[in-house]
Amino acid sequence: MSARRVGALRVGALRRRASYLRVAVVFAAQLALVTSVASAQATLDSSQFRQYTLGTLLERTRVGDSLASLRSAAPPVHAKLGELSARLARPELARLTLWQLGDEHASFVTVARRRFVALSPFEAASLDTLAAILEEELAAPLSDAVGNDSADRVLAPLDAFNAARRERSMADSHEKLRRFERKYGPEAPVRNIAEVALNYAAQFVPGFQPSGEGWPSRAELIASYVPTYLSLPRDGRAQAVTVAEAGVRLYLWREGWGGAEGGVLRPGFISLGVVAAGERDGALGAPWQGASRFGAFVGWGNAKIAVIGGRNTRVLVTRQVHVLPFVF
Amino acid sequence: MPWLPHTIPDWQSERAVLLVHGIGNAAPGDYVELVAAVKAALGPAADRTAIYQLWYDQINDWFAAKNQLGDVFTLALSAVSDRIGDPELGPTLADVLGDILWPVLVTDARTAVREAYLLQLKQMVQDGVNSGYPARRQRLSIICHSLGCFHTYEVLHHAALYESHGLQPAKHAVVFENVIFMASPVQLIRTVANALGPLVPNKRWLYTTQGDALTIPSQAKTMGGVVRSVKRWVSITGALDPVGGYFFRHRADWAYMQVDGQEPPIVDAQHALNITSKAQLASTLRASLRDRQPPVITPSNPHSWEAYVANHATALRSWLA
Repeated sequence: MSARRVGALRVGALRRRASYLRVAVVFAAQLALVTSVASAQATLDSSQFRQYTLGTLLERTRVGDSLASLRSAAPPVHAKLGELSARLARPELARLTLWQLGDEHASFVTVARRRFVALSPFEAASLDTLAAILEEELAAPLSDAVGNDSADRVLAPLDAFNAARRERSMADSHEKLRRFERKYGPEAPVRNIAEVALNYAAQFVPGFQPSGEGWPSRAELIASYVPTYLSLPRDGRAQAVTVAEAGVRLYLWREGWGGAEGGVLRPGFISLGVVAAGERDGALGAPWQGASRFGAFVGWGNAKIAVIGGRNTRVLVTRQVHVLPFVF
Repeated sequence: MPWLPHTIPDWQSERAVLLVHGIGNAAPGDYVELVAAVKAALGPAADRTAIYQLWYDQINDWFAAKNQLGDVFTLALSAVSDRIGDPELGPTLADVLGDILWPVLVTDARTAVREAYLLQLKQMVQDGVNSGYPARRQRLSIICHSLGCFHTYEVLHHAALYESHGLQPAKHAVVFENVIFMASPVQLIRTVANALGPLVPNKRWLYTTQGDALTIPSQAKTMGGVVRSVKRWVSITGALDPVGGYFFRHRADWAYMQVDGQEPPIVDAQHALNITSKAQLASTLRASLRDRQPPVITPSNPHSWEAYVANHATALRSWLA
């Protein structure tokens, strides 16, 4: 036997020993885990959720797969878990905490593509699918094999990931409701009859509808008769001017803005549109009286400024008030 | 004031029940008698069951102040009255049913209530997880009444469809043991919404009107198979309760909710109410109505939630135990 052949045999034997050693370590780890599970409380310890890493999840995936005997009981699931785990095997991913990954955004895959730099879109999708399959295909056979409490212990990193995603989603829900309150709540502008009708119709127009995920549109239509504008003094006299407004109100979602908290400087909405005024100035006039004058207005919260053109150009200011509820 | 979900941070067992009220003007602290009736039905298990309540009238109020739908709403009511086709009962029943129809016509209102409901469910599941019960071990139930049934139907379908809420039955293992609909107007709303046709905005996200029939929501698993959101789907109504699809002991198929896969339907005879004529029923229902305010439903009213709970205490105990 040549020295080269003897060397090759020795290397082969060493590799086999290393392989057996690895299996033994994994087995011992499983045993230790099950033993610690058996002595643990019957309930999940959520205080550990923020400690679990992607590496822990992959390790628990292998342990659960082995304890549930998926290789023989459900070969396609076993193969899929192996394939998804391999896609997440980049060493630098192992230390990422699941809480951080889950909390990044409720719609994890979408956001991972957009702004999460630690995972590629492919890796993000793999993690998402892995989490789904662990719950859908591993949880039940694992519970059958080792009991509910032990299964829950093995799957605790998965529960941490889902809890983080739910936590993020709850924050989103709070934000959606805060926005609805800004648009419709007690401090929101009141609609008159015409605006109720217009905005009912606007519900059929994309851009005015809430999104499929339940985020409100920031837009609202304005159609208003405003008898409270004042012209800026000319010849030392300010005059009342009545105008009809048509435009759009856009709500501002920033925190600290809007209502009493935001005050005049940080309002909850802005508005813009066109105005029409009658031929002559005056309170409670008809905007279509005589040769109407036209212009535009912008609003910063309840404060509005308008310019009407023509021979009798005017710069007008007002503060939004409802003189008669539901009328104007 | 921001809307906040009800939270119970320390569960005593894996069981939780959410109570979702119907038409009314309820706020935290209300429905004391109802909670007492549910606890009585649960018996000793009540102490180990987290009982949540969803209060959404605060959100309804935002929209009521800003939307006076006038003619469109009148159209909806006349569609109901025409369908009932009973000159003695029709107008009164249309008035009674009017309160449950308006969310159909205001997309933002139903979306905001749906979001509050979803937030309440997420809070409930999360409370359970934080108490040591992962979603797959939680035994969740919902008991809803009247308009609350409509919101429940919408929310369960939305939660099963959208993964972002973390409430899907397969992927997140959020499966309800029981959803018990009491006097559900879901089929009635479906019929009226379809009769109104193009006048109903944003139907794409109105699950009540979708498909060939009402369904129990479910989710397809990644590797094949389907998981239902609800294990036991129960529909209870009364033979004198128009909201539940019965018009003086006559079942109106267009208004009565029957869903494939639900438990055998339960219809209370309501003989104890001693209502023997249509005129008497109309008078009882009319007495509950108040001008521009939610109706007041007393135990003598066939729509009373407390009465439904009390009548089915034994069944509730076996379902929720």
